Amino acid sequence: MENRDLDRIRFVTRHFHDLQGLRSLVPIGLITLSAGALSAGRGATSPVLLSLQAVSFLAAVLLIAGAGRYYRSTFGEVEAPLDRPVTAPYALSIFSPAGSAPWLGSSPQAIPPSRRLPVILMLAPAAFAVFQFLFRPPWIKLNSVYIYLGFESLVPMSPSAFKAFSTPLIYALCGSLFLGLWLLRQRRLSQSHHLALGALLLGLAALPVAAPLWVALLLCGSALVLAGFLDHRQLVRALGRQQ
Amino acid sequence: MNATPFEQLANLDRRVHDPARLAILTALSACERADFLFLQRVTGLTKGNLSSHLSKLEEAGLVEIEKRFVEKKTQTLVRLSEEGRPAIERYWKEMEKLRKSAARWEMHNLVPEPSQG
Repeated sequence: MENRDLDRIRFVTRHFHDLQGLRSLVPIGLITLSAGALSAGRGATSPVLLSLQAVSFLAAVLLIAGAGRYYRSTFGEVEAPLDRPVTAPYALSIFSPAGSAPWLGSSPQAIPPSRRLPVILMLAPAAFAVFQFLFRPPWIKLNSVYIYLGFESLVPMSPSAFKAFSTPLIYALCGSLFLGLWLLRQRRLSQSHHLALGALLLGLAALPVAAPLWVALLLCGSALVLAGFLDHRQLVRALGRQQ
Repeated sequence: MNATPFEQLANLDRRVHDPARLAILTALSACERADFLFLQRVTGLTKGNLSSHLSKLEEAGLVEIEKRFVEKKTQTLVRLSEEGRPAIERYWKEMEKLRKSAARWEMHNLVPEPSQG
């Protein structure tokens, strides 16, 4: 029993529900893809878009209905931990406690489940505001006072203002979700796909040229589906051994 | 007087200091409750082995086992007992002390290799 085995056991048990990608991220991604196809095909009757919309929506419904049962019957059930502090450190290699074991560090504190959603919800607008401020500031500074210019142009919500606002907002929300997942999963190397996708989408949110809304929806949907499959693969690999 | 690493090693909680039981207790310490199938998957133990270790842990008072019927099948749920949670935390602390004293012991007792030639 090595450090990495105990670490894997602790991580997979603690994040068992989060890693069920077919139950959470993949259906959300498929619904986003469906919305993207709907948005792209508005007014047009392209068979490709219609089939993409129908297939993604149907697949999302099927996964929502069946993935929970699949995970329960294949990997069992875990009740999430109560909000108690985690003090357990990593173990030494227990066969050689005085020998070659390299280190013993404290386990990173996991954020209790009840605080996860607020953390992600707060992260999204914060990241959006930071990126807007850094790259496309909607404010001007006048006599040491910041004035928000974007509001007036958004109140009538003209199509161009809506497009300019909604596309980066979707990128930022989705990017923040990935960044939040990476932070909540203890910034592990195995979870770096969330960091990469978050950085990519937040970078797209900061681009000065806004892409059409449907492009953002299709990209975010694809990213969610990919992340969900990678989470699922990690869970299967971690729990794949059955004697 | 401080105990040597060897004495500390001998004093470790034997109920916990076993690879399979440590794996089970580590999983249970990261959740409120887990079922038999999950424990089998996460530890890689066979049904018989897991069952045997769970019985030993239950006898030692470290875990509580509950059986219930779900869809006409028996489901076995396992959780750390009131004694089990502090026991595993105490074990980690003992291991931390052991690591430190092993490092000290190595520093004081390391005999340099005789130079050749």
